[in-house]
Amino acid sequence: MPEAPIAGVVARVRRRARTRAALWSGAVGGATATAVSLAAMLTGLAEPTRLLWSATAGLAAGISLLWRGWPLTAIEAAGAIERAWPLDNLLITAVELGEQPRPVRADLHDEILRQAQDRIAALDVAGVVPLRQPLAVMLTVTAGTVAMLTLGAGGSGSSLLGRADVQAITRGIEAFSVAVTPPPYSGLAGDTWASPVQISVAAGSRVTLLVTTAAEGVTAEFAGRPAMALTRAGGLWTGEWVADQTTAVSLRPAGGDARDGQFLSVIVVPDLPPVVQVPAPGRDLTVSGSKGQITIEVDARDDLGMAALALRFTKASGGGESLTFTEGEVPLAITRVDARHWRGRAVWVLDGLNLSDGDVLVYRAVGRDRNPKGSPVQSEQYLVEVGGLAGAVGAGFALPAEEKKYAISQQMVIYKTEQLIASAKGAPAAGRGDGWLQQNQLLAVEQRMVRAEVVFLGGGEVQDEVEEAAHSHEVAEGRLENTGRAEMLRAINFMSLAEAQLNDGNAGAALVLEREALKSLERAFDRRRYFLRTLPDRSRIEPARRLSGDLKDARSWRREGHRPGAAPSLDQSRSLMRDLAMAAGSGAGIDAGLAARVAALDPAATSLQQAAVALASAATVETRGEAVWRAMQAVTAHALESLGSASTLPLKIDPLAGALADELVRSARGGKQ
Amino acid sequence: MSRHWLRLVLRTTAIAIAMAGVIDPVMTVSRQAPRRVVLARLASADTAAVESAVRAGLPGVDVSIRSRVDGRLPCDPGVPCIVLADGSIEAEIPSDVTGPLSVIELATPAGPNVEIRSVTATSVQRAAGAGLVRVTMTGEGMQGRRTEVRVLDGGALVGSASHEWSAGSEAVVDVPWWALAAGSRALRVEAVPFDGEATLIDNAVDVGVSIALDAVPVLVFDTRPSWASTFVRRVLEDDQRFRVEYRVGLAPGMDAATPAGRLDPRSLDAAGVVVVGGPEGLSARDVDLLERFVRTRGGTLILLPDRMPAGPVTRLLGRGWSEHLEASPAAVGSLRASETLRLAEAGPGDVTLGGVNGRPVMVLSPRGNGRLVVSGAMDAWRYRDADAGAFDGFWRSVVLEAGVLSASLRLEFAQPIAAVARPMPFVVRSQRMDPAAAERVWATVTCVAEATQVVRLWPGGAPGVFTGVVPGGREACQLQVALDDGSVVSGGLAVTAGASDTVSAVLARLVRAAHGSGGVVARAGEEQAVTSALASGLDPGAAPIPIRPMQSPWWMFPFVTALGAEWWLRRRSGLR
Repeated sequence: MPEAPIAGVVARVRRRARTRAALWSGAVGGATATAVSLAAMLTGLAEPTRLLWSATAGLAAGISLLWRGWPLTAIEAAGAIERAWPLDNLLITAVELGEQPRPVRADLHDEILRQAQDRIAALDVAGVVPLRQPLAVMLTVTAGTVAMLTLGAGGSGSSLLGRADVQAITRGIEAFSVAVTPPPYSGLAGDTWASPVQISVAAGSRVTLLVTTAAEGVTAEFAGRPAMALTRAGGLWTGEWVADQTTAVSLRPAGGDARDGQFLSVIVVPDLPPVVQVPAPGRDLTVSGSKGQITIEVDARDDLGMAALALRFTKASGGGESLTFTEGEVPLAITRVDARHWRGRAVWVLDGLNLSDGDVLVYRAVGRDRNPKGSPVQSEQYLVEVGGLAGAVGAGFALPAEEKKYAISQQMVIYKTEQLIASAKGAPAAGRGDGWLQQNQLLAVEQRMVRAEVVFLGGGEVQDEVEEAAHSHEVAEGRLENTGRAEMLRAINFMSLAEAQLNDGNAGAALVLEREALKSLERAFDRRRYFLRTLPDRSRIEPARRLSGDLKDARSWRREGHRPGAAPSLDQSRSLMRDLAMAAGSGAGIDAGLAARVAALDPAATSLQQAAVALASAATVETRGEAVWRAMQAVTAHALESLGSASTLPLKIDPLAGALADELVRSARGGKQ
Repeated sequence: MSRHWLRLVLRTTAIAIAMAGVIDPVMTVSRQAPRRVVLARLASADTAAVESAVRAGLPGVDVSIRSRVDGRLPCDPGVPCIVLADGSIEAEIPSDVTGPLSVIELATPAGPNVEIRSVTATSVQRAAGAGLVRVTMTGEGMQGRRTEVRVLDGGALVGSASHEWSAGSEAVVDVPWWALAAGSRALRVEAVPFDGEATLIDNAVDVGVSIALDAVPVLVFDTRPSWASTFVRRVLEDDQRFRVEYRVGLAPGMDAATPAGRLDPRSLDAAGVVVVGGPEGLSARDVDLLERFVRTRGGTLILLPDRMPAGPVTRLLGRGWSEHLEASPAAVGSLRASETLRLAEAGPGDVTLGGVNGRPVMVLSPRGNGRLVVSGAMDAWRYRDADAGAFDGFWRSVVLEAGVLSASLRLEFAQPIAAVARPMPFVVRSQRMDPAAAERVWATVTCVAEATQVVRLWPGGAPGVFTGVVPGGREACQLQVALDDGSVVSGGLAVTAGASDTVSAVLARLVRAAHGSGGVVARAGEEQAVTSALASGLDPGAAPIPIRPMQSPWWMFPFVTALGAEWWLRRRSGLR
C-alpha cells in the first residue's frame, strides 16, 4: 500500500470516479426511460404499461453502465491521475509498488515514494475527475424524464401522435354529458347520460348539456332551430333548452371542424291527451217519468297522470224553436286506481232536475291531465230522454222521427237479396246467365238509392267515405270522438261495397256487406246523436235574383300561373348525398358533422334519425361502411317522398311515325278511290 | 485466271452486293398465302382451354389471339374471325369485317344466379321528379331468396328495390330513383350479388339518362269551363315539372287566363303540349292553328271532350267515335270512367293508352311531326280520388313523355350512353309553327378537362333536321346547339367504361353478326364445330407475294469474303 498521502489521493480519485459513473448511469438511464416513454406514447400504450416499460429500460441501462464503471482499481486511479496531471509515471509506479510488491531496492522505493508525494501535493483531485458536467447532464435528463413521465399521466391510452395532432390543429370534445329534467307535472324522474348518441325525453323536458373541452368555446347546432353558444361554468361548457320537438344536435368546439364534434339525437315523446270513456250505462236511455236515478261509471286514463274528472250534463227543455238549455254537473265519486288511471261513479238522481215530458239530458265525462297546457278531453255523449215523447225529438238539433225508414229500406235490400239467392239455389254459378247479373245489378241500383238517402242525411257527399272512416281516430286525438258519425260513414262504406259486389253478380258477398251496413245504421240512429260536424243546410236558388246583375261589371280575369316551390330540403339532400358517396368510397369524413347533416334533413323522420345515430356510433371500418349505406338509403327514400311521381308510361314514338301514318292513310284513301 | 482479273472479279462482286443492298430491289413471286384466323377475346373468364382447343382444331393455321382494341372487334378484313364471348365485354363490329365471324359462347358456371336481362329508363328525366328504372331479371335456383336491385350514380345510392323470388324464374322490378345533378348521368343498375352466386358478370349494366332542369311548357285552352281539363290542369299546376299557362272562356269576349295563355302561333311555338277542354267550342281557325301545331310544329295536342264532339274539331278526331254511358265505372287503362268515347278501330301507328271491351278509348295518334291524344274517358275525373292517385299519375306521365317529344328544338343521341372513346352520332330537330326558309345552326361540345370544340353539322334530309357526331372521349361531354333565333338546347352524353348493355344483348348481337356473315355459333366444348367449318374454307390459294432479297443478312458473308479475298490477293501481290 502506498504511503498515506498517495493512498489518500488515490482513494479520493476513486470515490469521485465512482460518483461520476453513478451520475452518468443515472443520466443514461433517465434518457433511456424517456425515450421508451415517448415511443410508448406514440404507439398509444396504456399508461401503466408505458411506465413499466420506461422504468425497466431506464434501470437496465443505468445499472449496466454503472456495473461497468464502478470497479476502479488503485492502479487505474493512478493512471487517471497521470493522464490528467502528468507525473512522469511516478504515481503509477508508486501505486503499483504498493499494490503489487516486487523486489526493489529500498532507497529506490523510498525515493519514488518521496518524489511522488512531493508532486501530488498540489494535485487538484476535482480536475482529475470533474463532476460538474455529469451532474448537470444528470439533472437535466432527470428533469426531462420526470416531465415526460408525468405528461402522459391521466391519459386514456390514446396515441400521443393523434392527440398532438388534434391539439395542434383543433381542440376536440373530451367528454360530454346530458342531464334531462322532465316537466314537474309529469312526475318523471330526471336522468343524466354520459356521451349518449340518442336520448328520448318527454315533451317539455329541460335538456342540459355539459361539455368538457380545452377549446375556447362550444356551439350546439340544432336541426330546425337556431344554434346555441354554450357558456362556461365551473370548468365545463353548459347550455340548455326546453325540448318540444324532435331534433338533432351537433356539438362543435370553437376552431374545430366536423370530425371534432359530437352528435346527439333527441327524440321528444309528446304528452298524449287522456282517454275518457263512459262504460256504464254506455248507451242512450229512455226514462218514462221525471223521477228516478241512473248509475253512471266513468273511466279515465292518461300516459302521465290525471288531474281532474267531472261529469257534466245539458238539459234541453221545450220543443220546436223554443228550446232552453241548462248546464249542470253530476257529483262524481272518484277512485284513483293510480295517478294515471281514475274511475268515477255517480248515482244521478233525476228528481231535482224539474224534468218534464220530452226533455232530453245529454251527459258526458270531461277529463284533464296534469299538463298545464293541455285542454280538457270529453267522452262520448249519451242521451237520456224523458217521457212518452222520447221517440219524437224536435227538429233543429235531433234527427227526424222517420229515421227508421232508412233502416227499413236497407232491410228491404237485404230481404230482396236473400230472395234472389234462394231463387238461384242449386244452379251453378256459371250457368246463371245474364238474367242473374241483371237482377243483381237491379238490386245494386236499389242499394245505391238507399245509400244516396243516407248520404243526404249526413250532409252531402263525403270526399271519400272510406278515408273518412279510416281517419276517424284523428278527431279522437284529444277532442271530440263522434262515433255516431263514424257509424254512419261505416254504413255508407258497406253499402258502396255491397253495390260493387252486386254489380259484379256476387249476391252472396253483397248480402254480408248489406247486413253489416244495417248494423251500422242501427247503431248510428238508435243513439239519436248530435251530428255536430254536418248539419244539412241547403241553400236554395232564388229565381227572383237571377239575371239581375249589371253586365258592365263583368270582367275577364287575369292571374299569374301557379308555380309550386321546390322542396326546400332537396338541394341539401343532393349535397349530402354527394358527400355520403365520397365517404363511402374513401372511408373518411364519417363523423358527427355528417350525422348531424343527415338528421337535419328532417328531424321528424325516424329513418333519418336512426341513420344519423348509426353514423355517429360507428366505430369500425365495417360498421362505418354499413352506416353510410344505410344513410344513403334513408336520404334517398326521404327525397323520393318529396319528388313528383315518376312517369309510368314510356312513350316510344318514332319521329317519322306521324309521316308514316299520314302516308298510310293517304294510300288507303287513294286505294278506295 | 490471273490474279489481277481475280481481284477485279472479287472487288466487282463486293461492290455489286453493296449497291444491290442500297437499291434493295423488290421482286414478286407467287406463293401459297399463309392461312390465318383471328381469335378475339371478349370474355372476363379464362379462355385458355378454348384457345388451345381452337389451335388444336386448326393445325397449320396461324391463329392470332387479340383483345378488344379501342372498343372495336380486333378482326382483320377478309380474315376469318372467331370471337370468344361471355357477354361481359362489348365491342363494336367494324364494317370492314368481311370474313366469316364465328362465335364461341363461354358457359356460365352452374349454380344459383341472377341475370339482368334488360333495363329500361326514360332517356330524359326532370330534376324535380323521380325517375323509374324497369329491370327485368331472370333467376336460376333463386326460389325463396331475395334480390336487391340498386341504382347508383357514381358511388351514391339513388334508388333501390327488392324482389322476393318465388316459383317463377323471371321478375320485373320497378326501381324509383332521383337525380343528384343536372346533365348527363351514367347510372349503374345492379343486382346485389349474394354469396355463392354462379357468376357476377351479368349483375350490372350502365344506363344513360339526361337530367333536365327546365319545366315542360303546357298550354291549357278551354273553350268553356270543363271539369275534365280543370282537374288535369290542377294536376299539372301542382307539379314543378310543368309550367302551365291557361285560358278559359267564360262568356263571349270574357275569359280567365294567365298572361301567356293564348292560342296564337307565338304561344304555340313556346308550348310543347296543348290541352283543350270543351273541344266542340273550337272554331275552324282554332282547329287550323292546332293542326299546324301538331303537324308542323311537332307538338302534342290533348283533346278532353266531355260529350260527343261536334263542329270543326271533328276534322282532327276523324270518324269512328261513339259515345257510351254506363251506370258504373269501368277500368280504362289505369283510370276509371263511366262515360266514354270509344273508337271503332285504331288507325295505323295509333297507340292505345286505355280501352274498354277491346275498343280504344284513349288513343295517341302520330300526325305529321307531332301527335294527337284523344281522351275518351270523359268522366274519369269523377273517380280520381278512388284510384290511389292513378288519375294524377297518368296525366303527369302523358304530359311528361309528350313534352320530351314536343320540344321545339330537340337534341337526340343515337344511344343515351357511350363506351369510352367511341364517337356518338346525334340528330338536331328544329320545329316551329312557321318554319324558316333558311336556318343558321351551330354546335359546340365541351368534354371534362378539355377545351370546347366546334362540331360540324350536316343537313339531315328533312327541313329543320341536322346530324353530327360527337368525338369519343373518356369523360362525359356536353353538347350545345344554338339557332339564329336565339334558341339553345343542351344535351349530354354519358360515358362509361363498364357494360352499357346486358350480357344477353351483347351475345345476341354477336350471334346475329355471326349468322349474317356466314359464321358458326357454338358453345365452349364444341370448338370442333367452328374449326371444322372454318378449316374447309381456309385455302386462300397462291397469291403474289413481294420479297426483298437484299434485306437478308446472309449477304454480309459473301460481301466480307469477296472483300477479304481481294485484299489478301493484293497483299500477296505486294500491293497496298
